[in-house]
Amino acid sequence: MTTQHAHAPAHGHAVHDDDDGAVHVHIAPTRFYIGIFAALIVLTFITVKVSYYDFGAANIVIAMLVATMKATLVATFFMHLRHDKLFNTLAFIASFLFLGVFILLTYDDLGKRGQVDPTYGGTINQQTGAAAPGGEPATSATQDDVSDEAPPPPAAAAPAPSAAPVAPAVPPHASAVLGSSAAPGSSAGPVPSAVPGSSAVSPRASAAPAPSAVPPHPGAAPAPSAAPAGKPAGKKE
Amino acid sequence: MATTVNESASAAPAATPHAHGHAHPGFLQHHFDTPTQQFNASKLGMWVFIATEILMFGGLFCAYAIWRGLDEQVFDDAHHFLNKIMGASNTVILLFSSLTAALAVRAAQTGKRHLTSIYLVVTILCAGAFLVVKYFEYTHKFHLGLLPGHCFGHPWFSASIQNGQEVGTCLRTTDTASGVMPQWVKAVDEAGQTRVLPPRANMFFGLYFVMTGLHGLHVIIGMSILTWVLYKNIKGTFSAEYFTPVDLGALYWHLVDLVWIYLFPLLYLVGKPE
Repeated sequence: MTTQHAHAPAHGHAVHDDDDGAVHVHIAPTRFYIGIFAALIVLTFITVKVSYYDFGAANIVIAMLVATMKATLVATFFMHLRHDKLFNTLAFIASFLFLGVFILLTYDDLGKRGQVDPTYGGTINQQTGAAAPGGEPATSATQDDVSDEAPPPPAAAAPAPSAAPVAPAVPPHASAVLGSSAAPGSSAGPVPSAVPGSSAVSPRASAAPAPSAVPPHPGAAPAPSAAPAGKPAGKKE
Repeated sequence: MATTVNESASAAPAATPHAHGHAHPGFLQHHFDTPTQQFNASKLGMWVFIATEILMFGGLFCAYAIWRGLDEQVFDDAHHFLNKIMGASNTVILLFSSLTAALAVRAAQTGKRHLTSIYLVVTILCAGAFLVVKYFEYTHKFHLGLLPGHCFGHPWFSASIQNGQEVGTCLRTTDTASGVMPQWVKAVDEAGQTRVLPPRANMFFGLYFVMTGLHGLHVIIGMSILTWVLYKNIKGTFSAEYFTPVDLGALYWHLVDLVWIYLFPLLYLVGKPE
């Protein structure tokens, strides 16, 4: 029971003779396995006990350290990596390396994208207010376009500058909701008053003059009124 | 060749001192030269499979890392609905089953067939006990309405969030007269404290149910594998010379243990305590 280095086939070969082809494995004593189990239980007790105290950001570090110690014990001794082929350990470790690459690159990508909007879940960059790449088409990038384009036509632009920033300011979900009713309006809207340049620059600007011209739908009217509320709502905490 | 085939036919469980050198016992498949070669190939295959399993769970761990990083507060609040004692009990059960699995391999390595069976049975029973505890945890959360898709609605589709109206407790489909999709869940957590969870607590519970669910699936698969190994062991397939399936079945079971070793602290423990 407790022979430390017994080799499975009991016949009388030299201990490290690989030529006979029979499987020789390291067999740890039962006591040893029970000792490992006891260590695992102690570590479990520690990690549960520690969780009742708040160490701030170190909470997860401590928990992961203890978990990794436990996992190392299981892999090394219960899973026999200690006396196994080194290549098996390599395959095992490699999976964690690739997992690390996976998580780090995903984190990096996320950091470049901006943050999740706390209210609606869309991604915007909260530092600049700009629509993040991959996020919802949102507010300020289009506003910049419009303000650049707005000054050149001063004559016809009286409703346009006021209406144009408003429409993009509608939060993404609201524009999605209004999309069905606003879309027909945008086709009729630009013709009377809008500046061709601005409508060419952004589709949002082409939708903006619609209220100033002929309100094609009653559904288009709520857009400006909803917009001032909607604009801060996009970034409200 | 002919002699080796005869020998294999009587591949008894006991340590038969069969022909040394390059004999071909029955368990040795014809494309392997020696039992050692076959054993090493099987083990390498199992370890590569384990690596793929880690990567599969890795996707969920990555999702966990992202969402916890984005909104730790939600995770802190939501984790109070998990029972640490139940989680710790399940950890101990799994660790113990891992011990018995390792001892089953040891018994197989030393040719103690009966002992191997006993350890395998204990391991399978522990797996069942784990699932029973998990059942009680799950049903309690279902009862509180913490199952995503049932009580957590998307705010876009909710009329009540635009009215600034909040729903006190989860509105079940059965008692929802207004048809309002609930997005706030108010329930009593494991410390007995009434707690209101924000809409995105469904990220925590979504991850909780998917991660522990996939793990639970592995527990069931592991039970099936070990039951098959037990059956073969009782039939006398394994011996001190040939115990590879016992070894690999135990490796799978240790993997189940490994995953839980990380799941338990991440889901039950790391949040801010009260």
